[in-house]
Amino acid sequence: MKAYKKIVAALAAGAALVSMAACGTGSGSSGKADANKITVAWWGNQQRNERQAKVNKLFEAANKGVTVDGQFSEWDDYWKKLSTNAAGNKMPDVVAMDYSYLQQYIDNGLLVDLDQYIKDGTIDTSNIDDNVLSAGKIDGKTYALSLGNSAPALIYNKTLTDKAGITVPDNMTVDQFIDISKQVYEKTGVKTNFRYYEASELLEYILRGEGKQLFGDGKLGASEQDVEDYLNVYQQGVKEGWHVAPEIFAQIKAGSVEQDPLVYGTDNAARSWCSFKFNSQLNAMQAVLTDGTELAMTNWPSADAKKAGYVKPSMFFVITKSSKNPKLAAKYIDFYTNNEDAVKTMLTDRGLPVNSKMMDAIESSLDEGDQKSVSYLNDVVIPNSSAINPPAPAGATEVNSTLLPSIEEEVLYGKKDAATAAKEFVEQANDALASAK
Amino acid sequence: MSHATATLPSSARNGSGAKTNGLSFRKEGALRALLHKESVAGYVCAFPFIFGFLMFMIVPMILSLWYSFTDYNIIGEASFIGLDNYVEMFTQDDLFWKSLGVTFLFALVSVPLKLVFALIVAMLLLRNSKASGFYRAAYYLPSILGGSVAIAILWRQMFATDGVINQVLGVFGIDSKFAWLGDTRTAIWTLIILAVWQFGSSMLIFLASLKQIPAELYEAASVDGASKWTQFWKITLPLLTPTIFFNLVMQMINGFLAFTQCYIITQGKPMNSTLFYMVHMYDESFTNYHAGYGAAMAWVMLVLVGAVTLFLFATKRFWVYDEEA
Repeated sequence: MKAYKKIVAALAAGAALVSMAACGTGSGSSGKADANKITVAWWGNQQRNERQAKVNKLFEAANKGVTVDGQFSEWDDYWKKLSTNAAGNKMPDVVAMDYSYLQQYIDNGLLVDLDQYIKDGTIDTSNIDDNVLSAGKIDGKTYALSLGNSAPALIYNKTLTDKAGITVPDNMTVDQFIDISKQVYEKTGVKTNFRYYEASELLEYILRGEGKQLFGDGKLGASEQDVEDYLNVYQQGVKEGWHVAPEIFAQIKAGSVEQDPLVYGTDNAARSWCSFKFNSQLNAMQAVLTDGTELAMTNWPSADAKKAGYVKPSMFFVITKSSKNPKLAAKYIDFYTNNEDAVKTMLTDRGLPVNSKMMDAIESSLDEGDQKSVSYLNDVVIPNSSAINPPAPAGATEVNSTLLPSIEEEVLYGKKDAATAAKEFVEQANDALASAK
Repeated sequence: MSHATATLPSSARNGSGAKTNGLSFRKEGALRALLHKESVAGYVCAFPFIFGFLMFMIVPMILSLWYSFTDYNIIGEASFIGLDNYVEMFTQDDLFWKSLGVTFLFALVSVPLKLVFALIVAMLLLRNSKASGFYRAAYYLPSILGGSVAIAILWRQMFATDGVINQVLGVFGIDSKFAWLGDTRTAIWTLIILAVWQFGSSMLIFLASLKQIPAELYEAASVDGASKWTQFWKITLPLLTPTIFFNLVMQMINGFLAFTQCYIITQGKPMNSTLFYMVHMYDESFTNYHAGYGAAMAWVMLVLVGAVTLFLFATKRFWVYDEEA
């Protein structure tokens, strides 16, 4: 009996030891034992995930003994994951960063200053335009390297509009856009999605067209009237039947390229003839359509295309403070930007390559979608655009991910009219912006 | 603790070997006496749990209590703001009240329904036929799978405009294009049905206690001419009340803490009519980066669940059969 008890005690102690040892190796995986391992995280769609995985393989092949652990999520989940990683000081070494979150992560001291790696030549920026570099500069320090340029683009079903005999012109006004939406609905039964339940870029864009800035200094730069005009489009659309009903959106994941009403759904009532996206997303959307439908793009509607239009660093790579191998991480960023094979693999997935020499290298490998994307940026947007708004303040996250979507929802469901909703939104948004300061 | 884990195996080995050195014998003797105490073996065996409980329950709870008084935003430093989070919750956050209402509706409707269902199925499966083993397993399955993401996605497809539900209705001549998940009146019910469908674990507990009811009671009752129906109300149900009570408390707590169904299927849509408290808390914490506020919400929920459980215990003496009384 006593011997039995002794064995139990020894076993239990052994088990405890093993379990603690297991913990040890778990946390050690990002520790000193792996000087040759980096983790890279990004958000994206199927196409990007495949291409990025190939680039990671190329980097491993070019650097003997190095392993790259790629982690991808959809946009929504990505930011949740990243924030919890940041809380645990376990952020991946290299993370994709969006313009709208950049300021927050810098303010909280989570990013590494890249200037040291640019100075010592680890990241070669000699072929990158100064304007591109300055997009990732805050207070004179380079925290982020832009991976490509993109611009807001109204991606639409050209096969459908051609069949209906409707031409979609560049530089539309909002009224013209509504008019076309109505025509499409009357002739084909296919409806419209006015960037419902997504972040505030469209509202921001329309405001820019009127010379206003959505996120001012600590408060909303839009008046109640501005917001009401914007929400009116939904109110009118749902009343007249040409906007996709909110019930449809309850069944899909908002913001997902693969489930966008432009490419997803079979019933006309659940489809949209267009989608408010960015030009770099054209190819991913086209890839979902296997029935020969052709997509095309133009700029978003606004009162003044030149004032409203802008070129945006489509995303950045940054190195995090929790990285154990910042030097290797810097090498990865350099490889991604300057290695010909890497650039040829990603093509225009994150917008046009920032390395000007690479533009010529990839020209021949661009497929039709990429070429459309390039010519849209070069011919439609760049000659007809103005400087991008400064990075959004911290409170903008709440406005983008909660306040605006839910106010749009209340208007679409007819729970509130545009005027009441606008008043409420302006109040809530100002609260959010003030409290996050 | 590392001291104990390091010395235990070696001393156990020495203890069984020859005792050569008098000095170490005395020391080891004391150690052996200690090790042979009943309570020490108990603590050693319970150590993995105690360790886990402290590290993964108590410490995080204390931290979250602290965070609930701060403006912690996950990615930055937390600073103390007193009761601001709690004040904001009760006075300014409409969604707090909305989600609380939704969660109460969900728990108060789905739990009794689930228990009734579990009891009915348990009664049906009580008979010992060859197939009953299979059916018990089959009906238990949903309660294992029900909380999973895969089932949640399946549910979303079933209730979609072109989903199975509408197609089945079509077979019966009802041409339905109804968006079950898109209508504020029906969306919450799809989640309630999903919860009721997971009646398996309650059913198993009912089955076990149904078998405990002495057969003599039924025999005596039928001799006295009581119908099956009377037997159910006069014998089965009263003797089951302790089990019903147990199931009720457990399922209520689970009901208030429901998360997955809402997060995957509806995300609170439409118009927050399905916004569970836990999902609102999650959104505040991780989407809006208001983790301090989220922590405060968690503590309010803890108090509420505690209050509901206490209330249930207080009602116990009015309806739960107690053999000793």
